[in-house]
Amino acid sequence: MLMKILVCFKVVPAIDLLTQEEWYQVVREGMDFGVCKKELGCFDEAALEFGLRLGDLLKMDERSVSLTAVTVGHQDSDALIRNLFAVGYKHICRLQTDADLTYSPLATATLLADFVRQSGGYDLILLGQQAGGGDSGQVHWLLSELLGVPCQTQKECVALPKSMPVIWAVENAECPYLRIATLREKMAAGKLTVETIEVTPSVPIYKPKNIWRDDKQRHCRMLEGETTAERVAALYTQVLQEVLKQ
Amino acid sequence: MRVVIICIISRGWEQQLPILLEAASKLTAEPEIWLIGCKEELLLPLPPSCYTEALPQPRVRQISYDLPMPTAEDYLAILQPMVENTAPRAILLDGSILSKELATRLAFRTGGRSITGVNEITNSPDGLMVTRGIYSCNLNATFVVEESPAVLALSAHPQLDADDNNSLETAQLVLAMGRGAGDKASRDKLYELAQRMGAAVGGTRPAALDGYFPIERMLGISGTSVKPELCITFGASGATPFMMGINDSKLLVAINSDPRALIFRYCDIGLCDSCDAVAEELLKIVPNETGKQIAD
Repeated sequence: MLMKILVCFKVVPAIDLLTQEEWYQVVREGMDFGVCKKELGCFDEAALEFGLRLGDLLKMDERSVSLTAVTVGHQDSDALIRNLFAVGYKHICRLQTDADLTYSPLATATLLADFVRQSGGYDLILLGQQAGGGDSGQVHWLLSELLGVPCQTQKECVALPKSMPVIWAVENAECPYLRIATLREKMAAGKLTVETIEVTPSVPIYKPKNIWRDDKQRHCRMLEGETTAERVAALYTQVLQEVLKQ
Repeated sequence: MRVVIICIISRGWEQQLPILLEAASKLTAEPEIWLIGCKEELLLPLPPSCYTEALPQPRVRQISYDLPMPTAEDYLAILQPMVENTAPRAILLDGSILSKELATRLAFRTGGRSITGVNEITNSPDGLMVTRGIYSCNLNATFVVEESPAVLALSAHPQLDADDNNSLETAQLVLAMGRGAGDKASRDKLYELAQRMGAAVGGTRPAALDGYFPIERMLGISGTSVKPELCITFGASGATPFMMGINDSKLLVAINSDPRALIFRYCDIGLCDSCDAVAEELLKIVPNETGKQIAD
């Protein structure tokens, strides 16, 4: 029997690479992350790898599996999304909307729930427990409410769910990174296209009244010395010795 | 304004309840506490810090259950009709995973709006003003919540494992590793150093995922937050989600071989060098368990 697996993911700006000054610039320019590199949300990346591993388990068991990935976002993330074809996803769908859903987890969950219903349902829905941006960490519970499907958190990917349909929210997983595609797989994936569906959120969209950055910068004093031994001696005498006495 | 605090008696509830009361005091002079536990737990007294001059006798509604291991659905079955009958304007919960789930589902089922990771709540003519961290707490955002009930889960975490000598939360000295801490041999030196200094070991998410230490010892926004006298980081880049977990350290020392590492902007003292070399030199200086330094 065919097992249908859906993985919901989000493409987010790689904010770890931003400097303090760039953060101020982002806020000044109305939260424009245009210059920032894009990446998969870290928990969503684990969920995508989870899906592939479950697919591998099913294939070993000689069962057929359909792997679909879906995201809500803009066209500018398609280059990154296309890599999912290369690692093994057969169907990738992008729900395109002009609305900024960063702070509206219910709107995101509603669009995903509509997609699930229109696709005829899935046996297992995977998604990361939290994605960058709004950081609400609520979409999986809201999806569970909307679909009437139980939701569990998962870290390990060793067995299939005992009862289905079910939603798995992937947290700090044992396999947090997506597998790497071969050059041949990447070339084959280049010919495939991401299905785009225009959508309009049917619930209120929220925006913050105010966004700001706290300036909690410390003023670093670098320890000087010609050699490692001199610098470490300075660390010990100026800092550690006093603390270790206590 | 009717404000309800939902507090489930579980590990750390004594620390969380005063925090919730303080947050609620910004909205009303008389918040109501819904204290949920089994019959024996409900016999426990409220923590002394719940009794303040402004609120000498908090209003408590005790809700007992008779289930060995209640799930979120069990709690919701109790709470949803109570919320529908009393129609509070705001409901406050702590920052545990269970509370976030309850906040989300309760708001959905009662037609309200939930926000998690809340840092501050105030009242305004437009509605409730709710502040929380966004973009891994690199930024703060204030939202106006007009919907009722506003079901808000705070960002505070309970202080767990306080009895554990090696607890990160209570450690006065923390040694934090990043992925730049080096190979297995280097990390062994750092563990030896931590043992000699009596430091608790933790570190960044990438280092935890690479098996440098158990995932429970991950520091940062999705791990533990520490407030030691001294935190020394080895090979951590200074990514904000990690820094959120160590920012409250009294003194922050960073060791990194990259002079442009972001962490040098956020620490008090920096040492630009190889983590392995620094660990090796420190092991020569820091006394071992017998109090003797190891000679070259």
